[in-house]
Amino acid sequence: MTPQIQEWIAFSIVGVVVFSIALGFFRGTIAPAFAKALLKSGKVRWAMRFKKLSREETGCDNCSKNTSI
Amino acid sequence: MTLRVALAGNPNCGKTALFNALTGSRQKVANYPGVTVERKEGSVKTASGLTISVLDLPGTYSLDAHTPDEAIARDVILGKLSTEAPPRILVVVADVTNLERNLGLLLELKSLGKPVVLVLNMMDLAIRRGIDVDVQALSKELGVTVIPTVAVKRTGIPELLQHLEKEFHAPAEEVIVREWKKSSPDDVRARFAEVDRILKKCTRKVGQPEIWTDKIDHVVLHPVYGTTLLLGVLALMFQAIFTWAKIPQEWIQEGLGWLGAAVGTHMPDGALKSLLADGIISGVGAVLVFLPQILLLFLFILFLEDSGYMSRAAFLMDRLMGKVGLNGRAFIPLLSSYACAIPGIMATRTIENKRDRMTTILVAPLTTCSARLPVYSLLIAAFIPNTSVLGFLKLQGLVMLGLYLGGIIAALVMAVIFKKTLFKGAKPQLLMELPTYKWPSLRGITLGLLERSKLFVRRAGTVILSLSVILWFLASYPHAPEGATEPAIRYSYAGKIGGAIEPFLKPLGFDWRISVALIPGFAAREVMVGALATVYAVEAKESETAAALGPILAKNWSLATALSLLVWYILACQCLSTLAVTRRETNSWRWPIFMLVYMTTLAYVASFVTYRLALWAGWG
Repeated sequence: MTPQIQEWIAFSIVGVVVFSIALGFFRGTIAPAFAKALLKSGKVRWAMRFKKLSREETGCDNCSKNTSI
Repeated sequence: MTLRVALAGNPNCGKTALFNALTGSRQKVANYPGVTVERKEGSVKTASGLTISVLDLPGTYSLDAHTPDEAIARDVILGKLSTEAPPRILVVVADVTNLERNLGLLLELKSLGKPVVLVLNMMDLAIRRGIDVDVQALSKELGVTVIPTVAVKRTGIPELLQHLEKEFHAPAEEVIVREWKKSSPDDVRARFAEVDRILKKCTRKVGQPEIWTDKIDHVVLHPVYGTTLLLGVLALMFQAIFTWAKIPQEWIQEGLGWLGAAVGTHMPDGALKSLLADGIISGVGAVLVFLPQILLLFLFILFLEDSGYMSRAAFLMDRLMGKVGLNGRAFIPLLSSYACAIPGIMATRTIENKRDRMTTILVAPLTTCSARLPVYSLLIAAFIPNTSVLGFLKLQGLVMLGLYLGGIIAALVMAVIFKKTLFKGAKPQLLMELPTYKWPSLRGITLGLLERSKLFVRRAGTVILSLSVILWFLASYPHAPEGATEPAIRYSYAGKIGGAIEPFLKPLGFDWRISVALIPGFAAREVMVGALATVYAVEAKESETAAALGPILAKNWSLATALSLLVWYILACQCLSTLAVTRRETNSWRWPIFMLVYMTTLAYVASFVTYRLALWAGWG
């Protein structure tokens, strides 16, 4: 595998990672905020479109261990 | 064919155990819309093909709600929640060892006119404690079907399913659901007088009741012996984390070393090889190594919780909490924050007093969460000698205990300050239930640990992997110019970013490499370990990359820097998710911003003082 091919593959991996982080940020933060703002201004159809794109999550991976007494 | 039922009951009556026994792995956990009250729904299919949809409601003592949890339970039961279809049958779960209190809710629900089934849970404990319940008579007196169960052993579950199926197929009777009215004190007194009357008729004490719980509590809740025992348990926990985890950690390290060597041998030099070896294997591997320690921490937490000791620990700590103006209810969210500040902050919704709730939310992130453990372990192993203290304790374990205590002390001190300034008010009284001691179920602990491993590995495979790849790119590009005199990473984006932040963090003893690693550490605390591994791996010569991170840090950092970083990690608000959940719980950006500012300031000042004191002591 030549250094050029290695660099091309490595850059592709970095690109995929950056894209998925950006997508996650859009779905988790931008889209819900847009949906809320559009709903407030009465643009229900657009609000629903953004709502569909958004992902509601806590962002917490440790939540399953919720110490309860 | 679907039958919709809801499980209602007091907190700690075994409702969730019954829910797990009924639905197994067919569960969906989410939040009720608009509020952070957990909604758990699952389903079970009976032999005849009927699907029973089971909703696990938050625990409540009555329909007269005092907390958001109780309000949700009431609204679902009354069919007032627009997003939730009302259940056809209410399954009221009661702890049979505490029927005096548990039956109050049943009578209140029965008065609504909805179909109700009573599940008498924890029957095994009742037998051991010498409580004999005449199930037939109780059923007759209450006018509802009564089913005895031991949910954790799945005893009585087939009978419950059979009964629900029968109810579903029974000819529909006209159900008149009465309007709920807030109970007057007289109504409540009358209800509990009725409970007393029924219990006198249907229960009796037989033989010698088991008094182990009382006997154990004499020691465990004693101000001196109890506190000593609590400290002993904590010391054992941190000793175990360091000694028992060593062997599996070595296995993981050897596996990663083999993987790194395989990449080095079979791939020609180039960007992809560097990404795999220096970015992914170094970054993800550096965090994966801590899996055994995190599992041991959770093994202890699960064991203490399932045995019933954890609530005693909370009771003991209530004295301390009282001194800072909070009550025992605030200790429960703080205890949850040992796992993660997010469930801890969410658990504050059980605190009725708003001032107490806000104080607890603001100090919860100071409690040591499991994401800090990899950073603590790395620095302790690198800088603290593994010598014995008093012959049987290891210094490394004691330092770890000290870091955990440091987090608690910081949380309590800040609580005092907030209660005396921002949230002045009298200390509310504590009413807390102490469950009987139980031998933890092996199945429950195993499932809990498996779940933890899955989450940790998934996190390593997503968040940590992504950030390691990005950090590798930032640390590798652009390449050093011709004739460069400094290490290549100094010319990279990461080097430039680190250089820009360094002047602000230099007074704390942090160089540009630590500054770079702190940035991804803000997304998730433990990523800092992977980030440091990536930065040092990219910087190191080929022959050094296989070496573990600890010795590299010990060679490059002073003890003063390590101590300063540990103090920073105790106090800094390095978690975006915590800020996001604070925003949601307080419904304002004001409090997460305040949290970020006060914790960062506190961390900066404390790290600065630690660094200067360490330099003064000659540890520079």
